[in-house]
Amino acid sequence: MKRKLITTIISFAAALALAACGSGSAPSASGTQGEATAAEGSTSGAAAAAPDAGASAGMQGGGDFVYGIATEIDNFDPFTATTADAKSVYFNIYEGLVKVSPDGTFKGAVASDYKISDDAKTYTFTLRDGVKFHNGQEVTADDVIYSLQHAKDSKMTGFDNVEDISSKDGKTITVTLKTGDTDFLADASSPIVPRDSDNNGELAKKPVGTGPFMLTDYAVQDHATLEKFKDYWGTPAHLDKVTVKFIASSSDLLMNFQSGAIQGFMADTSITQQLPADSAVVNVSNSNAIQALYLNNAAKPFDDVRVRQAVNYAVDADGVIDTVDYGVGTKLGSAMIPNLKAYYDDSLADVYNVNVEKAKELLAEAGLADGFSFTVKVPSNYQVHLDTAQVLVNQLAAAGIQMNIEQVDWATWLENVYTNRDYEATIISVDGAIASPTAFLSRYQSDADNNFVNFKSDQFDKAYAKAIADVDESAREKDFKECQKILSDEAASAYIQDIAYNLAYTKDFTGFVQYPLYATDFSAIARTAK
Amino acid sequence: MRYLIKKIIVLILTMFVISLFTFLAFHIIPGDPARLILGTSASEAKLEALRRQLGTDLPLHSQYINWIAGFVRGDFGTSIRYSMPVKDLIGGHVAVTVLLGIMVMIMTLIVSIPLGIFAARKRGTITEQIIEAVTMTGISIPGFFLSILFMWVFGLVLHLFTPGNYVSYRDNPVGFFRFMFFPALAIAVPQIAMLTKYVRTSVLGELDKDYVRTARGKGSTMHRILYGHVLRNAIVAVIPLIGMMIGSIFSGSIIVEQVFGVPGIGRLLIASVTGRDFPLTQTLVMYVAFVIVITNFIVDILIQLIDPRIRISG
Repeated sequence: MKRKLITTIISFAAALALAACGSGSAPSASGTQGEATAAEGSTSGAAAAAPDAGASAGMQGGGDFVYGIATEIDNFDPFTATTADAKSVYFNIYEGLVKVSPDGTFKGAVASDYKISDDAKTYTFTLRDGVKFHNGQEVTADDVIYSLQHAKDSKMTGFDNVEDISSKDGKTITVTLKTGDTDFLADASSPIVPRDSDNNGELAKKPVGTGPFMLTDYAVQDHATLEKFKDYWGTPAHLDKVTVKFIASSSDLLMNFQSGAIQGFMADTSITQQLPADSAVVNVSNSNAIQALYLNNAAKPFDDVRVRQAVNYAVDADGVIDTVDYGVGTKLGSAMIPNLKAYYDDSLADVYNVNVEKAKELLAEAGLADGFSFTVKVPSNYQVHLDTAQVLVNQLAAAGIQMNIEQVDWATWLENVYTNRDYEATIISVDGAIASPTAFLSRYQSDADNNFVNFKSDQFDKAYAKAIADVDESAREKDFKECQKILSDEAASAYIQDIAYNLAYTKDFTGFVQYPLYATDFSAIARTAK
Repeated sequence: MRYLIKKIIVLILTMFVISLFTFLAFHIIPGDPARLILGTSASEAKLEALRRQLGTDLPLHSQYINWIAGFVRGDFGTSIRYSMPVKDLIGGHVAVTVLLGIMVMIMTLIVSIPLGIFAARKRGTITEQIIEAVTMTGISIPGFFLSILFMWVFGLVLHLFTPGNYVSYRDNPVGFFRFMFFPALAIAVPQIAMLTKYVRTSVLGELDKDYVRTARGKGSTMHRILYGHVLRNAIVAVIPLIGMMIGSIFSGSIIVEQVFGVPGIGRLLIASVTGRDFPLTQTLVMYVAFVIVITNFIVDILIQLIDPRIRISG
């Protein structure tokens, strides 16, 4: 609501300004249709990504880039800071033994090679020669052991299964798991840091990693400066320096961009669409998070699967995408992101196509022929979810369901909705900690700590247990698709979309790589050759 | 002297009560700092580890007692959100907001006092009506609206400054003042409007008094009466208002700093509340309260110096 108001005021102010100077040259906040580059980008993302870093013509090395971010980064310790925006930036600073590739597979980073035993219980990593930390020291097996042990001590996802970490020859590191887990490779992207560098959380302010950029300056509520790491083992970054400026709110990104205070930012389509047509390059990509009208399966009447299905039939995801996100976004039918291509079942998106009659029938079967009303709690800091709520109110009303919107601030949402599960329904995008199907599906196990929708299904629990135990990759893929199908059949929630999240920058820049993870890869960005 | 001691006791009590209110407010609003830091994908075990590290696993009243015990020893604690000592954290921010406040004060005083006198002298004319209308508008415009308007008009249209491109006073003092002129103006406009109105009313009130008529009868010029007698009396009435303005400037800066992207204590305060950063919020609130109470104390003394007839009861 607040941003709407501000936008209205800006338009009004713009109108005044235009009237005052009597020229049409000033950019208008709402005027141009902005057919730009955003609208024609592929919604599935990867195809819209620019060519890989390093190989492309039209780029030139060096130069500075000022990047705006609407969430302030207050902690660079990779073992405690896991807010999505912080992760998206320190992706450039830290690397693990392996690193995710744009296609979702894991390739060696600090390790040059890895071997997984047939029972997926023993992982052997070979250290890459000559990898250096930002402080100039070479990475040793001791550093790796410290980092993995620290990840275990810090309760990082997947590390509770680690039995032993050891190195016989100082060149290979062997990780032994308690039970076989093919997914541990994704967990092994956990950052490698110098030995004893984070015993008291020192990395929070002085991060030291092996990535293509190193942090050289930081000012609270103002900026963080990343400089190119000269001794990087892989393809070096094009840019010399990236200044990450902390902007107070996402609605201010646009003004900062237009004033020239920042040269690039990431935002959803409702914001990038407001950029005047030829002022910027917009790289469309996925947010890799699952937006849904999440239903509390333990709260009446959503404890009845027919009611949940009715809600699914009433919700028109395409309508949301068209109205809120200018038609850019990927419709979803279950809890898996399209960028995890091997595991994603795209047929589920069309299971619950809008069918108001069917919705009413199901409600009548459930004894709610006259409809019902419920309250949706929406975090007020996410305009896109608030806008979605407004659209859903009308869609649900058609099926006789009255939805009331209650806005809550983020901290309250986390406490009341997410932690205490004291809600009927909510709208949010749920992201994954790592680029792995388990990050999205594990929360639906009946007894999972983070099962905030209170989903309970023995069938799902069995299917999921089988999926994580399967060592054979093609069987795994089938199992995880089965899990998604159960979520769809049981209508765990009303899944909407993977919201498009776009990197916009001025025409002085080029290059963009998208991952199945929320990350902004600065090493892929370069200045446009003149 | 007795007066001074009494004043100091009141000051300490006031600050204690304010800290108690902040504590109670934190008790009422939901929110877990560890969850805010770690986000939705964190496991329960990880959350507990962080809560222990931050000390937020303790009941809030213990946190308050720990905080206040440290505070009286001069240790303001460690910020939960920024994981650095609060003392180191707020230093730079305080300087920014204080400089901003001084700019607002100067702007307000040099505009509104002459303007108020001018309006009073033009009593009953169309000029007075215009000034009256403008000041009413100035009082009514919300700070965030003015800020956005200024960014558009002065930033994006006239290019007098670059919105969002804050320059640190340490790196470039001239650039700093150039940038800060507009946020300061956004805070100053309602203050100018209010003070102008007040000065005008105050001067008019004095002009109606008997001594003015007597002076006129003796043949003094209007000019002499105004600047020789009336102004001095009118100003005494205005000074308490200046004390109150400090509070308004602080509350104005909270919004304006947010909109203009100025890293002052207003913006830090918002971040500390949204981050449920108890030690940081407490210290900032204490700081602001201290400044307001102290300024009002100074104002009291000033009034007495200007007009010794006013006795401060003690």
